[in-house]
Amino acid sequence: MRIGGVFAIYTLSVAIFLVAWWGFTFVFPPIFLPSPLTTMRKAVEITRTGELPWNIVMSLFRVLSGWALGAVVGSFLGVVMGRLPWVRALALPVLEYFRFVPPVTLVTLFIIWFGFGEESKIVLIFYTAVFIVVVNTMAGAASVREGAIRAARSLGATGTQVLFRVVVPETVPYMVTGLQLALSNAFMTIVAAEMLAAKSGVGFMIWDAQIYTKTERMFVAFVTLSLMGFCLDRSVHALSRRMFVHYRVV
Amino acid sequence: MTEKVRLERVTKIFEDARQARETVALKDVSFGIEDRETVALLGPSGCGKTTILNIIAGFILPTEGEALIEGRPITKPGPERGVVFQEHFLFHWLTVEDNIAFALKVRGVSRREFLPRAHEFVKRVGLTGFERHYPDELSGGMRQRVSIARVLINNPEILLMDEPFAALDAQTRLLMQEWLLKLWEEHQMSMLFITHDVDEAILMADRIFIMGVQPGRIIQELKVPLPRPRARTMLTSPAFMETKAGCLDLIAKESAKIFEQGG
Repeated sequence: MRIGGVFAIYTLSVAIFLVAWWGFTFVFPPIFLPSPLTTMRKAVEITRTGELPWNIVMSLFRVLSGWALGAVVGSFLGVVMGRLPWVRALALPVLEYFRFVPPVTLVTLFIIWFGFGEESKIVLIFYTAVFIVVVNTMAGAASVREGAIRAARSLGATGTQVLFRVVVPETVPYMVTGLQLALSNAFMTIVAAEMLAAKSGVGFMIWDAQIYTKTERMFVAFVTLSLMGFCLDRSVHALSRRMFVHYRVV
Repeated sequence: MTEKVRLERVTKIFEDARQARETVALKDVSFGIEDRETVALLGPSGCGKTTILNIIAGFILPTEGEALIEGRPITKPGPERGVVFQEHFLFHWLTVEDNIAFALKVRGVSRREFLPRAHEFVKRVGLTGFERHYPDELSGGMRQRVSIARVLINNPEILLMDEPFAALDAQTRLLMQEWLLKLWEEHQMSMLFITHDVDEAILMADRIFIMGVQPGRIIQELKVPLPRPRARTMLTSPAFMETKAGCLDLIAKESAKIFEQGG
């Protein structure tokens, strides 16, 4: 009943949006605002030609590989920084500065450093993800219950055992939050990067459509993006809750 | 009788660097706990009773004086001293059996070997059927029994109990006290029992140290004249009442002193 209710609300919400969109197409010419139906036809067409699936796969590939890399490195650094106050004290100021450099501004620099290929985009996503994961993991690792650590030590656990058997499990909910935030940020960054410097991906589709005023394609890209982001976010959420049922992931 | 634990003129000073202030948490505390003896530390918050437990557990070191376990100086925590905390501090991502087996796992005992041992202790603390449950699915009393089983599996020399039943409701607390007394009859281990509940101290302990504040110290030692095995029915016996009256007198005197100092 509850899940059914949620589903009904989502459907209703999207339906209202589509009707409003359709209503506005009577006011504006198609070059400004193509109708939902036209957009769908276009989507089917470029799915048949393989163009849309290819761009989706490229964007997903960049997002997921950069994000996964950022997750691994960020979790590790976050735990180290959370547990060692002097490392935290040294690293935090630098983190504070870099936080205000938007990843998009680094697109061209990373192209100079890593070339025009996939590396530069993956590094960019990595950069986007790693800070968010570090900051969240660090907060978690620093707030591990001292009593749990004491309990483990008095049961005979060594320093390394305390780290892997207590600190890391206690930090999991924070890591998961960091991973989710990082994913949505990675998404925004990749679209911007693809608009600026790529020959494939959903971001590139938007850029390409804009140059030639192919508004329909642009709208296909918008809808695709929102669906991709939504599905990815929900999958990560569901997966992490399933994997870490007893870790108090919220 | 041999002494399990001895504190010799232990003083603990906490320094607050930011306020350049020192707090004397414990001043000149000396006592011993004998084999199979239960000692209760009874006092208001701030009297340093948890500090004493933390020193014996090896979580902190005394500023002055000596803490010994079976004649050896205490420098760090060890499985021969089983600590039970007020807030159980179970590992909520592990099942009951895995929590109880934690000490065996960190020693490298294989799952095939430790599971039967863990199940034996699940049974001993009366939690058969809950082996695969997680701590979040248990009641407060059950969680505390898991945390007691988690240290008993080490066969410790002494149990260090830091207000283990303080977070439980009155009915559960009484049941847990009776249960622990029964468990004690089976295991006959030494125990340090921290509490601010006078009834609990008398029911559980052979000797009670009444503590005072500013600085934290032992004011007086009281012998509990109740025989073993202990039972709930003793809570209303004349000997119990007499001991309780003595305890309350001492506590009242100390409280009056704090009260007058505006504490």
